[in-house]
Order: sequence, then C-alpha cells, then structure tokens
Amino acid sequence: MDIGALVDRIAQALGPDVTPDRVESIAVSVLSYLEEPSVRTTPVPFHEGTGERVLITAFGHDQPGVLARISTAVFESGANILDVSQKILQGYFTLIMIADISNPRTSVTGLQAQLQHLAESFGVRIYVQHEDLFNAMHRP
Amino acid sequence: MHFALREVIDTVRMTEIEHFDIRTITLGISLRDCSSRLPATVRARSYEKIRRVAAHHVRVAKEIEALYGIRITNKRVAITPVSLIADGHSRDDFVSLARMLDTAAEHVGVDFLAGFSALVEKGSTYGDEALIASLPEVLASTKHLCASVNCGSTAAGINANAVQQMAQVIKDTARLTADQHSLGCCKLVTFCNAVQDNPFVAGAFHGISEPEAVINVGISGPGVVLRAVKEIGTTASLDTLFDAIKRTAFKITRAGALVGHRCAKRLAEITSIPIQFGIVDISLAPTPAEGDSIGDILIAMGLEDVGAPGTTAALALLNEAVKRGGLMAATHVGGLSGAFIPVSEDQAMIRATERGHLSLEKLEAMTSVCSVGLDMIALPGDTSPQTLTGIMLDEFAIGMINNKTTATRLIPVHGMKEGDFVEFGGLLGSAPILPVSRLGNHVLARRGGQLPAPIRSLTN
Repeated sequence: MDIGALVDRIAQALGPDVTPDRVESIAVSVLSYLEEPSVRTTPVPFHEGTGERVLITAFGHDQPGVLARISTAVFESGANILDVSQKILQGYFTLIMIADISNPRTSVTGLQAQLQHLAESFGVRIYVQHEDLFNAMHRP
Repeated sequence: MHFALREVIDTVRMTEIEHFDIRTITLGISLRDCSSRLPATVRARSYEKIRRVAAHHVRVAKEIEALYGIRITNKRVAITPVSLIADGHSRDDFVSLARMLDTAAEHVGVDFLAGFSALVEKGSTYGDEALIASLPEVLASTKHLCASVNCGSTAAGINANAVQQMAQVIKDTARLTADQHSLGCCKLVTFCNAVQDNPFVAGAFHGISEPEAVINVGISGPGVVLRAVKEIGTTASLDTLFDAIKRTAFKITRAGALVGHRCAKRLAEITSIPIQFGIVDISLAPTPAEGDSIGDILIAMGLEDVGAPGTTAALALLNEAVKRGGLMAATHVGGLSGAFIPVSEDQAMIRATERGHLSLEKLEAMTSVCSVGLDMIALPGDTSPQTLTGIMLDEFAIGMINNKTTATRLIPVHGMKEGDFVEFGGLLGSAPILPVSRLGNHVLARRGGQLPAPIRSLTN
C-alpha cells in the first residue's frame, strides 16, 4: 500500500475542503477497512520466532528416489510441502524443501529422526532446521 | 522461494561443517533468598531452588538445539556468588555447601555449575576469607563446581593480599588434585573487573544486580570466521578483512540471540518462573577440535605462526570486528564479549607454544586487546606462589588500567616441568608446560596491601 498516493488522492477528492485532519481521518478509516497493518506497526523482532515452517536441505551424490523418499517422509510426519528446489551439478544434488509444520500432529524431532535414517541409507546428508534461524541470520 | 539459495547454503555450511555452535546456554539463578545464619538452611534452600529453577534447563536446550539444527555445546548454571549467601559461615560449612551444590548440579544434569565465588577487590569479609580458604578442598572434592575470585577492579584497585592468598590457593589446589594433573586449577578463575553476566564457565556467576533468573548465551564460531578470512584472500586490505569478519559475526550473533530468547521463553512457560533473556556474549571461543581455533584465524590473516610480530594487532582487529558485527545483531550484548585465547583449548595455540613461538610474555601482551586473560596456562609444578602472585598482579594491572576484564586460570601442574605435555581431557584440552621467568620478585610479592585505583576510575 502506497500511503502517500492514498493521501494525495483523498486530498484531491476533497478539493477546496481539504484539511490535514480530514485527510487523516479518511485515510485511517480506509486503511482499517482494508485491514492493512497500521503504518505505525513495528515489525516483529527476529527473536519472536513466529514462523511455522522448516527448511529441509539435502546434499550428496545423486541417486534415483531421494526426493520421492524425502517427500514421503515429510508427508507422513503431517507436514505440508510448500516449495521444492533441486539442482544437480556434476552428479551432486542440492535439495531445498520448505514445509509447513503448523499441523499440531507434526513432530519436528520425529521428522528429523526419519530423515536421518533416510540419509544414512542413501549415504547423503539431510538437515531439518526451523525457518526462524534463516530469518535471524539473513534478514535485518 | 522466500529464502535465497545462497543464504540457505551459507547457514547449513556454518552449522554443519564449520563447527558453528552455541558454546553455552547458561541459566543464572539468584540465590539471594537462600541466605541464612544457619548453614544447613542455606544448603537446603540452595539445593531446592537450583533443582526447581533449573529442572528443565537441559531438556529445553536440547529441544531448541533440535529445532534449529544448531549444536548447543554446553548447558550450564551460574549462581549468586556464594560468599554473599553464606557470609559468616566457617570454612567447613563452605565445603559442605559446595558438596550440596555439586549434587544439585548432578541432579539437574549440567556439567558445570559456577558461582562458588567471592568479590574481594577492596577487601574481604570473614565469609570471603572462609570461602577462599575452602577452595582447594572444594575444588578437589567436587566434580561440577567452578570457583572464581575477583581481586581487583578499575574502581577499587587491586587487593594484593587477596592475590597472595589466591596464589597459595592455586598451589594447594594443584597439589590436592595432583592425581588428575592438577585439574582443580582448571575450575578456578581469578579476575580483575569480573562481569556480572558472564555465561562462560569457569568464571561465570549470577551478579548481585541480576534478576531472579536469566538466560545468557555465549556464542562461538572460530571456524566460520576462519572461512571468511580465508575467502578474502591475501591481498585484501585490513579494512576489507575487518568488514568480512564483522559480517560473519553479525550472523552468528543473530543465531545466538534467537536461541537464547527461545530458551528463556520456553523455560518461563514451563516453570512459571520469570526466566528472562539476558545477553549474548559475543566472544569467539575455541575448542580443541581441529578448525575451531582462534590461532588459525590469526595465521590466516597473514602470520607464519601465532606469536609472530603483528599477532597482537591481528587479535585486536579480530576482537573489534567481532564486537562491531555482534553489537548490530543483538540488542543486549554483555558478558566478556571478545576473543578468547585459552592455550590448552586451541590447537593452533598449542602448536605455537610447543614450537616455542608463543611465550607467557607474548600471551600477556595479547590479553591487553582481547578477553579474557591468561587462560588455561599450564606452568611447571614448582612455580612458586610468589611467581604466581607476580603473574596475576601483572595481568590485573592491565585490566585495572585499561578498564577491561582480565583473568588468570593458571595451572602449575604438580610434578611436571617445562617441555612436558599435560592432558586435561574433553573441552579443557591439553597443553605444553610453558617456561616461566625465574627472576626473583619475593619482596614485591610479599608486600601485600591495596594497589590504588587509577585516575581513570574518577569519572564523575
């Protein structure tokens, strides 16, 4: 939402009747109608940790079935896959998967144990880490 | 995708390959409400309170560890300096209390509980005297307890009588724990300008002005900084090097702050005790693991070995860059916050001392630009109390005059001599016995009294 443009339009529409108070009161009611967060809302501090997603990363020699088995394990844990990106370079694959864990029956530790088991059987590395960590380390 | 591939790989590489870990999550517990004139009451109250407040500390830390995939190497507890809650008790009472605290540590599952401490920079009470007298027996008969004594400060000067006493305590502790390579001395720190919220054991304690219970976090990550320094190459200027370290420090501090906040919140929910998040201590702390070394960073900056001319400047740069990045990343920064150079816990430092590149005197110079002091220094077993007094006075003078924390953890290893090699095991590592000057200082060391505070203490 471009607040500046909104204020300009209201001022224009009011024509000669424009006053700062009237513009503000109209702008506030429009914004509350749109349920936009207030312009004064401060962002959530990084350490509040509001995320409900995990990042699953896997690295290793490419083998058929790795992605399928990881996806199955994630599905069985109750998590929901939101995004997958896989790249294969000279026989090595890098997989990054984002999964929603807001389902109360999802157990992150259970999923970690499952994937650890998979990692050992495929001879690859699989890590499960909560998204808050990435936000904390790489976002202002 | 909301997350850039580069960021994801960067984080995974740091946590999984470069040993980036949270070095310690330390739960500070106030025992001020446990004091009594009756020793048995202090013991019972302290035991009960530690059991109650720290009951879930280790379990919650492990939960958080799993959730973020970051290793939390140590889960520890710090308590109010014991001399304050048991003042007026006898030496034997302090020994009994120490055993009870050791049992409490065992029961809550922490490897170290720190705060068997006295603050005597301006003089001792009867309780302080009794605590100091109990230290050799306490350190020899307990497993988890760590002790510290603050002997000086910029505001008060240096209590040379206490320094003399501590030199004798160190000698006695070394003798009483001779069968474990004088291990007792590894659990004893003497300070100048000790801080109230230091999460790092052995020198941790829960300061007198701290709240009821608090989580303080000590970060680590020399491996991550080493990679940043290596990536920058050999032709980059010091400014560029500084910037690269600063950026890395930002990331690791953020991770530390996140973990600390989450632990405190979770503990407060479970226990209904107002356990709050305190500070991130932005110290770079090495471990004996290969690649987790401060010395290696200094070498990567362009030195043939630690101890080469330029070492102190390189360390100063590292220390400042870590602070700058860390300060931007976390709102509350405290503790010791600076690079640690414990000789026995750092492979590159061990190698440098073995090769004769790093002397006690060079180490002393290095401690003037970083935290914390002459840490984990193994000395010949026949080092005299007077020599120990002199080493401590020198180190504390640096702290007092420069308004910074300095400490010593000196281990005159019983029965060992210069050139021998001592193994302490685990995170305490191993170290060659450093040569020490044999020049006499008997007259100065026995003078005692109070070295007056410097003019810079008068800031009002």
